[in-house]
Amino acid sequence: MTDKEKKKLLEAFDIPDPDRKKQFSDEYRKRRPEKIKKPIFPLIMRTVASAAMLALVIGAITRIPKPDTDMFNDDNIIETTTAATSIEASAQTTADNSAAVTTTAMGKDKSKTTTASKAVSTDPAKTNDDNSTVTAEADDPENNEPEPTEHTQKPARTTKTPSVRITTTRESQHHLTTTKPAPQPQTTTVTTSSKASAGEVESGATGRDMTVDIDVKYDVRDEILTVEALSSGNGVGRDGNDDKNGSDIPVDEKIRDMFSDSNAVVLAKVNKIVYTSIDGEAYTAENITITEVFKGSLTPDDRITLFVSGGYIPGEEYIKHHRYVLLPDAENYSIYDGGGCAGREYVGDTYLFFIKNSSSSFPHGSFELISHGDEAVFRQEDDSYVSMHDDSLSLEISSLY
Amino acid sequence: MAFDIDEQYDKIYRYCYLKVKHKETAEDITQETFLRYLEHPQYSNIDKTLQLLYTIAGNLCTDEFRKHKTDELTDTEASSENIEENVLSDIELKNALTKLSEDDRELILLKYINEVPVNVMAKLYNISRFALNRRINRVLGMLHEYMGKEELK
Repeated sequence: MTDKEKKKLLEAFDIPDPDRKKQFSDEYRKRRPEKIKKPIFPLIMRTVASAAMLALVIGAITRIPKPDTDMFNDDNIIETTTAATSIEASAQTTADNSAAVTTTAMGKDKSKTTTASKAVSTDPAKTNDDNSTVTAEADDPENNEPEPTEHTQKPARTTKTPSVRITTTRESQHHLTTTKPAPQPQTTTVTTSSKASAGEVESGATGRDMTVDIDVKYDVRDEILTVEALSSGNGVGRDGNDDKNGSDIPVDEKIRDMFSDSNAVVLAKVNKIVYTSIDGEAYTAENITITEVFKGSLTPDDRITLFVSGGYIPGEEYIKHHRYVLLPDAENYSIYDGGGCAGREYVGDTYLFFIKNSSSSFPHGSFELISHGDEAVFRQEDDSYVSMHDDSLSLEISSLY
Repeated sequence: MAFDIDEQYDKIYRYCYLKVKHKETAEDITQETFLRYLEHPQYSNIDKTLQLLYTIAGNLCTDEFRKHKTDELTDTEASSENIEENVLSDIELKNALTKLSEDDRELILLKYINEVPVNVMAKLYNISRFALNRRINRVLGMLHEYMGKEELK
């Protein structure tokens, strides 16, 4: 906004100039602290947090297992106790060995080295049978075959090995510290959960369920008012076609632009429709099942939630966010807000959608159309697909391949 | 970061005037805002400073409104509630502004005249930046429409 426009706007507000500004400003400058001191506490917290992070990193680095040394060729060991290295089990490791070596001096000129080793296997079938106790005798010409002590015969799991951190899936039932479950076919981690409810059209369950929960759901009441009807009654005009784009752009170019703007272009069937609101604006949440993908990382049979502007919102909710609207007995009405949409989708029908990942105003993991209104939704008409908002915008499905 | 008292005084005053619609009261509240601000720890971040100033001003205006809820305002200046009695200028923008709700006018004032950053405004209204932008666009659309209707007359 230019200074001239700002000045004009300010004049339009008709706000009188203050009288005591200069006097107060002078007084304020005397009272204001000369130097703005930076608060110390946050600085201390930041320093402590940095130190803690550094300590964690150093601790993690020092815990990396070192390569095993060859004990058998070393004659000079009298007594050595080596704590077993800690092992961090993960799905990627296949096998790891930790060795607990205890050597005791049995007597004069005698020494015996016992190595108890255990293999940590990813195979659940493997149990402690993998543990082996290897007893080796040090080279000693006067070896008198001393009896092994109890200490050296202890099985591996009693050598105070730090417990292995096991990454378990929900299927894992193992509690042994020496084994961990075999890598199971991992299901994709989903950040949202889906709830199939009555009324939802059943679809193939082979794809990923990426639908989101809708916290706010509205029923449609018997008495319905449109936003236009409300607006005209209150002297406030509102054009439902506020998103009408210029028709100067060629259709092909427009389709190309829409394709380019989309994170995904899909043919999908509508399974469920829920009326909700985001920040006081009516939205329709549609659970759709992908049937064909033309762009993006979705796959057929995936189920996602798509937010489309417009829908039904209870009257009392509507007037909460639109204070200029007078509506007595608002709780008896549902308000229909077209949201820039010319048509509506129906459960069970298949449409072509140009969609993008939704912004932070919407539930994480959901999608929204690439533009306000339903221009980016196409219905099938004979052999082609036509935009719900603009009949002149049509395409052949083959052009998307 | 220290702010310019002269600049911010005007902006806070306008904000208060829009709420209380009384010149003297608005000035009192403006000055009280800055005095209370001095009692708080001083922020080096200008956005936090602005947020604090507008929060204090808004709360003081609310207190003032509650105090004089049952009283009639004996304002010396034109009240926006007496639109029909105002001597309206020929400026289409002024007419269009009067048709907006108080909240919408406040939005326009903060955004375009006081030039409050969007993230500060979002925190003041406790909504997301996207929702705020949508509201601003909607208000601008309404203004545009009102001014368009005036042109047809």
